Amino acid sequence: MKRVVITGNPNTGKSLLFSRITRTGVISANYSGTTVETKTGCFSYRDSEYCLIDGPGLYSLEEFSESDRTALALIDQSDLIINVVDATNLERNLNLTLQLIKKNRPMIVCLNFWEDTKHKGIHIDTAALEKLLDVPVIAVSALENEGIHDLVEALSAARTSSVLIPDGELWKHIGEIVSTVQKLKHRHHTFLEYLSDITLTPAGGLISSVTVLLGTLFFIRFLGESLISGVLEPFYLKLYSPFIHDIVNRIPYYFVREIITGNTADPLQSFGILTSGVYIAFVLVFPYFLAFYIVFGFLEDFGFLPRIAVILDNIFHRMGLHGYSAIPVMLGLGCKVPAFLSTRILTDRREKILTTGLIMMSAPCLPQTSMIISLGSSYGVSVVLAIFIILIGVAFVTTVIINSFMKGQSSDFFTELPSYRIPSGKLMIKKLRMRVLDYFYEVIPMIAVGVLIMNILNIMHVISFITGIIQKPVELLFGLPADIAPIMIMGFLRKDASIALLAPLNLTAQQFIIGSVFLTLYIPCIASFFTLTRESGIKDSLIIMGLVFIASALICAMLHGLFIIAGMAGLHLF
Amino acid sequence: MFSAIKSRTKRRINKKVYHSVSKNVMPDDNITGLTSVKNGIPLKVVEISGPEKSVNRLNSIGIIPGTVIIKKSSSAMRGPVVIEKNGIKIAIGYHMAQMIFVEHVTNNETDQVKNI
Repeated sequence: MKRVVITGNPNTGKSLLFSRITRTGVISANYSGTTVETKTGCFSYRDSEYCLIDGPGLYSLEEFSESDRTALALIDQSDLIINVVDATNLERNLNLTLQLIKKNRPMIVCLNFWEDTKHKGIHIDTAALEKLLDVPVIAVSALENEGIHDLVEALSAARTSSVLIPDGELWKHIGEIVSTVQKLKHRHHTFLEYLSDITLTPAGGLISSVTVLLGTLFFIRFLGESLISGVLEPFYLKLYSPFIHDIVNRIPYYFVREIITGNTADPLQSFGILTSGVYIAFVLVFPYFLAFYIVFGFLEDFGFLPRIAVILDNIFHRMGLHGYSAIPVMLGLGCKVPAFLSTRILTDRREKILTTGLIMMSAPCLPQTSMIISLGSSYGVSVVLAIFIILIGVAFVTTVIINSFMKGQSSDFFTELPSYRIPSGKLMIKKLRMRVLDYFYEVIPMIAVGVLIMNILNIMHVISFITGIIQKPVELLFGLPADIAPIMIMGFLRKDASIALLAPLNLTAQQFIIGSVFLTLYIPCIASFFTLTRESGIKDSLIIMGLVFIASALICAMLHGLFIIAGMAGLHLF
Repeated sequence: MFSAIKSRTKRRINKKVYHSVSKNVMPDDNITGLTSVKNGIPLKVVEISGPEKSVNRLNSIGIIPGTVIIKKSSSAMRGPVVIEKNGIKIAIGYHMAQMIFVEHVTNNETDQVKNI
């Protein structure tokens, strides 16, 4: 069995190539640093066993971040290297190629984005390149699934190059190679290039980002709400709920009936596994989840995310970070787990800690967001807006404070801006399917476990015990009813459910704001907790969580105080 | 907070050192930091200073002295500078961009760039 490592510059399509060859699903997107983990897929071809490994991209064999370390380790353990080169960008990519040749391992050079060279007016003489590099050179198009077979066929022809690469003056040598093998034709700007230039101007960048943001919100709300009110809620109320109740009512044990369907008919208040559990996860959260990832998947593949990072660089600098931290934060709007993973593209521990804190605070995950919107809209739009403004404000201030205590300064922003691409519909659907499946795999066990634990705790009177302890502090500090105690425990298992649980408490608008802010911030959910400890280590995770918990308690107490003072002054906020 | 101030002074010192060097080696007043040139004009990188890590990062992507680049855009309030080299766009933080010293490319050289 041969370990075949796919390596190359960031955003050269390594992950897509990996999924084309192994026919497995891997998330790919149009920005540097999509892949931070390694993926392995084994296959046999012509009696040879190969294990293909996909890892993060590299610009050179030098280590700048954790993901670079992963990529370098992979190269050292490999039996064979597939060096993926962006054919539209030969010069920059060859730097890594020449450095890899010095590693003296069997290698193939794979010229990806071959379909783009034609309309970009680039002609590359692959035979000449093969001669100069002394390794097989294969042209492929991972996007259009062309040339993949030739690449697999060439695996057996991989060889260690005998070319001697002169030390130093590497770029001069590359220049010579490029001028021999590549011919450029003059051509006109394409529409996407014009668009790219416009979005790079400060005004154009701001306008396009605001448009994209508003468009995204509008689309998510529109699709989410129409799916809920038009399809899923009628289905739940008219077909599903009567059906489940009909079956469950035949069970003779009251206890079992209560676990499965709860004791009231309102799907938000009963908290049975198959009523509230299903209603929250499938009817209230799933439509927003789907809508979010449709838009997000499009923006990712279009290549828009790094542009947002450029625009946000300024704000992030004030928090001691740089714009690329915006990408993990944006991922966190969907789910914290991939967001924490993607902090690997950052260069040092300080940046990681700051960004992780920021992810936890500024961006409630999508299930939470949709529950805040669903429940909050009954109090009015201003309440929902207030919650998000408070969250962003707290995140900003806390990060600035943490930063002032941490030594070091932000490293510089540095990223390649991918050219815009019209996303392939097929790939988008594939990616969406993977994300939806992940959601269900994670949600279903959590609901079951969560509800079960809550029931057991209830029976053992643990909840009433804890409630008794925290009743006074919660009332005094936050002005919330003591019933919130079990919800806080539940929140560790399922954050969206924890906010949904506020529904039966009949809170005032002010209490709802405080409750939502607290439940969003206080601790990460169990899945993100484990990801966090794996990414940042137990010590750093506990530091971050402790700080975030203190910040959330403080801000909620302050909000409570503010509401009281405003009330005494005769102001009725919300 | 303190470290930020310190680094700013450090940068100033760096710049001074650089200017003194430039007067001896290249008596050319056209050399400026990348942050203070206009957009859209071909520029030749003369020197890159700053922390070794930044220099290496720029080197790994092919931005080295002698490279011809075009500044595509600068953002307001010390935001990143976007440059283009052979069709690749790279966003560089303001401070890193300050350390890239460029000069205007003469017409003769511009033609060469087009021909390549």
